[in-house]
Amino acid sequence: MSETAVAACSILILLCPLLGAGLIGALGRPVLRGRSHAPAIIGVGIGVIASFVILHMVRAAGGAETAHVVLYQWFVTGAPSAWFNVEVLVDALTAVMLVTVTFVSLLVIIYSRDYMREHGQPARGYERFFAFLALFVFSMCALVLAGNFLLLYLGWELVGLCSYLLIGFYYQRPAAAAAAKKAFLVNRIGDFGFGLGILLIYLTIGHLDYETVFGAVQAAMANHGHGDVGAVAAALNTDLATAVGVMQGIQNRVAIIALLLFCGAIGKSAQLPLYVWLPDAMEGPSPVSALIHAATMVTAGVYMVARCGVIFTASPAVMTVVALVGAVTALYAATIALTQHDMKRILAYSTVSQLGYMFLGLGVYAAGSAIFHLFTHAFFKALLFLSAGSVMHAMGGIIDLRHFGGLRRIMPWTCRFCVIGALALAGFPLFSGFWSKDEIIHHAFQSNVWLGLIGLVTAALTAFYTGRMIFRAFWGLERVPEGVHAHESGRWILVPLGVLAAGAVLAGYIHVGGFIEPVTEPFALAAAQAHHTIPVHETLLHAAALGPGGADVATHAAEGHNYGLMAASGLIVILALGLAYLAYVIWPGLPSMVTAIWPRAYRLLFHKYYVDEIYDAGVVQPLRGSGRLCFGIDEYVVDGLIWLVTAVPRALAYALRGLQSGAMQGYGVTMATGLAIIVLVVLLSGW
Amino acid sequence: MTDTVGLLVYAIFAIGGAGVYFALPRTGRSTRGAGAILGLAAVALLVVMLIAKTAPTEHAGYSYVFSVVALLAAGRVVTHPKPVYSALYFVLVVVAVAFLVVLQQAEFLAVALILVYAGAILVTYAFVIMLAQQSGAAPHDTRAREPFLAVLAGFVTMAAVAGQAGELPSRALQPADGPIRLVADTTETDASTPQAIGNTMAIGQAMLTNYVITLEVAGLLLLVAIIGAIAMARKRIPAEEVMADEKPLGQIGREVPPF
Amino acid sequence: MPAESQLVIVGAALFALGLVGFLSRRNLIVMFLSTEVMFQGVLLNLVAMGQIHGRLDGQVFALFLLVIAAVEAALALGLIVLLFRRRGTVATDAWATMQG
Repeated sequence: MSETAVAACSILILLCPLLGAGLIGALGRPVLRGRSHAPAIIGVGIGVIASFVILHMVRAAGGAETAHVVLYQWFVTGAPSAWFNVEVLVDALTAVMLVTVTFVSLLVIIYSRDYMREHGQPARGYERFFAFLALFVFSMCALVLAGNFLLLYLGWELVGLCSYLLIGFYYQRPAAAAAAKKAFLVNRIGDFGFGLGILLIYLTIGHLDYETVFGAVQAAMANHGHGDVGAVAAALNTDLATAVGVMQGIQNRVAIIALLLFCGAIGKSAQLPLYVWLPDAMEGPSPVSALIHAATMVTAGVYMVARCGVIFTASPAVMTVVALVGAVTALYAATIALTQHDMKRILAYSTVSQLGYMFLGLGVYAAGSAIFHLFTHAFFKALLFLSAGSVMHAMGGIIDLRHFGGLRRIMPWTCRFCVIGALALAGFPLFSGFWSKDEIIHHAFQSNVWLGLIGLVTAALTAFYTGRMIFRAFWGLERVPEGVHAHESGRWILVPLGVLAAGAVLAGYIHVGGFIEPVTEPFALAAAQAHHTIPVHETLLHAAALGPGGADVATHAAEGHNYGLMAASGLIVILALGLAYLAYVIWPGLPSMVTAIWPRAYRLLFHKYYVDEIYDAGVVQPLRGSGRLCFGIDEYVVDGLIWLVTAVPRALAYALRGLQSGAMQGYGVTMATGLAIIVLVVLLSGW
Repeated sequence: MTDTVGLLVYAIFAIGGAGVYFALPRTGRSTRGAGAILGLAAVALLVVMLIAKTAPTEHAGYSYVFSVVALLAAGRVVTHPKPVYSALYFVLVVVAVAFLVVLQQAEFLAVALILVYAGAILVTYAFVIMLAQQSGAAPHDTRAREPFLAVLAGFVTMAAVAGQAGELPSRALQPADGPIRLVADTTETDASTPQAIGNTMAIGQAMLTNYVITLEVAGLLLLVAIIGAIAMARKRIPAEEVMADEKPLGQIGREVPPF
Repeated sequence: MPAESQLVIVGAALFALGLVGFLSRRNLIVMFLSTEVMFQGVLLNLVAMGQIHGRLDGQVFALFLLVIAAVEAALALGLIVLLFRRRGTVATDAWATMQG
């Protein structure tokens, strides 16, 4: 890879969407108006081309090469050499992420051209919408391209800002404003931990660029955690004495650093317990949901953990936490999705669930599979959201499954694309989701039977709720909301859907996991070590499937196929889909019977385990109470003190104003009295 | 001896001050009687003290009489509720002081006093009183402002000064360069003043030699005063121009509570 | 105690009376009359001091004092008339507008 070419492409990827956003922001309202989508499409389109160029360069270099380009030196702190640079790091992982982000985003933006119009006229805030979309793409690209933690944090926060702006796009609606605020605040909680993690990295190592940090951590954790002082010194370019201190710092703190970074991932990628903002993010327009859920925002956490593999794999306990959080979130969100009626809400919970899968994959040292799932998920989830948006567009803004149904004949193309997306999501054999999900479940089984079982159960649940959504929306009696003239969407909407549908089918055949293997090497190495050192992971199945030798584990993990498991999960998915067909098409009375049998369980799921209510009672209300308390203290104690302080001069003035009679004679009396006193003093003192 | 004089002077001023305090016009029950008694007592005490303590001179009797007249008249000037009477009593003060000055062989000054004060200034006052005084006793004339503090300040200061009278030297300070010795009676020749001349001539000499610049400045001052008085008198001011607002200026801000 | 001390004491008393009048009376005319009384006290003192020092200067000062008194009377009375034309009264209270 030529560094110049990489730098040029990176600058194009970053600047073109940003320039597009700026152009729309500056000229959108006065000049562009209904053509405001053009700069965004062109800018992101150039970004897509540049991303593919980078991908090609990485492929040509065999995928193992890493290009590290300093665009310019930003600022310096402390030691003269400790520059913070605007730098990019390009390797296989970056290339895959870039292509996913820009490509899906481009399709979403093209789709938005029609979606954001009412009767052919641009909707209110049309320019604003596209400016924010382009800015969103820029932010995510900055996050992905960042060559150090500082830039990563910059992109991280920019993404949060853009999500806030876009979720609150219909800011006139209180629900949208509240959802935007919620997303921002919940993200702040995670970002706080993330920021602390980055600060701790700087405190421990003194550098923030990926290569130095990862090199130092890797060296410090080498030799089964005993460290290699020479390698640390080489990575940091310092003497041995300093390196010893840094190495001990890394060994002591790496788990804390990893956990703090994971806090950010939990917030941004909507895992338990900070997932609550994502379902509410549905208040934004559908393309925004597609963008957030598929390409730009929620994948940031997964990407970050994969990128920081060296740090995360240094502590097996942290990896267990990651896996557990992912698995529990996957199952938990899937159960909630079973009972929801809002189509976009079902998809939102399915996103939470699928992100759980990704973290499960990361946690069981299968970073390649996790990124693979991220890649496929981006296509089919974007497809599903955009299809839902298409339905919503046709239904006049109504997305509740109780109000319409049987749209198969009214919207044939939307129905077809939606079904393709649903099958991919459900993991139907030979669709993309099947391959990636299966890899993760496979690795989960290798790590721990229970994790694998959770994955399988979740897969079944996923298939069922996906089927439920599809069958209720497109099969059964034809029903549309009153006063709505349902119609198929136009070309600008259907073409992106078609491209995404093709991606949803074919993405599974691109071997992403193998391609990014050089980047996810730390996971494979750690897996090799972990399976020897941690007894918990040494399950029967693992022993049977893998045999002795860590190297075998690593190679097998990268390969990631187990035909027995594939057959089993495929069968489960088909059965679940069949059950959904039975319950919602053939025998519509069945769901109500089931809910009648377990009303309490149904209510628990329908109300999303009452988590929002628990947060409200446990976090929001106490905070509000403390806010009121502070307000009260400010109002009465602080202001009271100030009032008291000001009361002193006021009281003095009140007492003394009598002297200020304004009458000249009063002053004369005072003067004469003073004169008398002076004369008396002079005389009595015997002068 | 001086200490007793000092103490006596203090006592006399205290009594006189009390007298003035009671004699000042006030609302409610009049205390003029008490004021008059105290004032007379103070003056009597003063005379007794002066007789006892000062060396007797040729015209000492006249001197005491005119001192008493001057003080009592001045007391009435200050305490009388009617300005017209104040002005008339002031004439009495001027005349008495003029006599006291004559007794000091300063005839020219005495005549000037009578001419300027009784002749000119008092007439002006009379005009102004006629112009500006409302008929009857105005409220601001029947009520003194802060009488106690005023009496205290005035009499303490002046008692302190007068208390030093006992320390005065007895003609000890003879002129170093032997200038003009004032004498009214040319027959009373003094060895130290070979060319004794009349008082008027002496003053004239002093004014046109030592004090000639002062004299010119005084003339200029009078000129300026005349111009200023004319300028003020010509100014046309509509009545109640400033007080046109419904709220009196003095009441602005009065109602604002401090808390 | 020399004979002139009598004048000093009487002058001081006149000054004190004038001061009290100036400070306590509310009528502008009477106030300025009181200042004239104070002038008398000062004048007596000047004469007495001149006698004690055996010099004529005290009397000369007294004459200049007369000039000042005349000037003061002219201007003060002019001012009083001016004020009276504005407010219709010679009470000092009418001009106490700078009250706190």
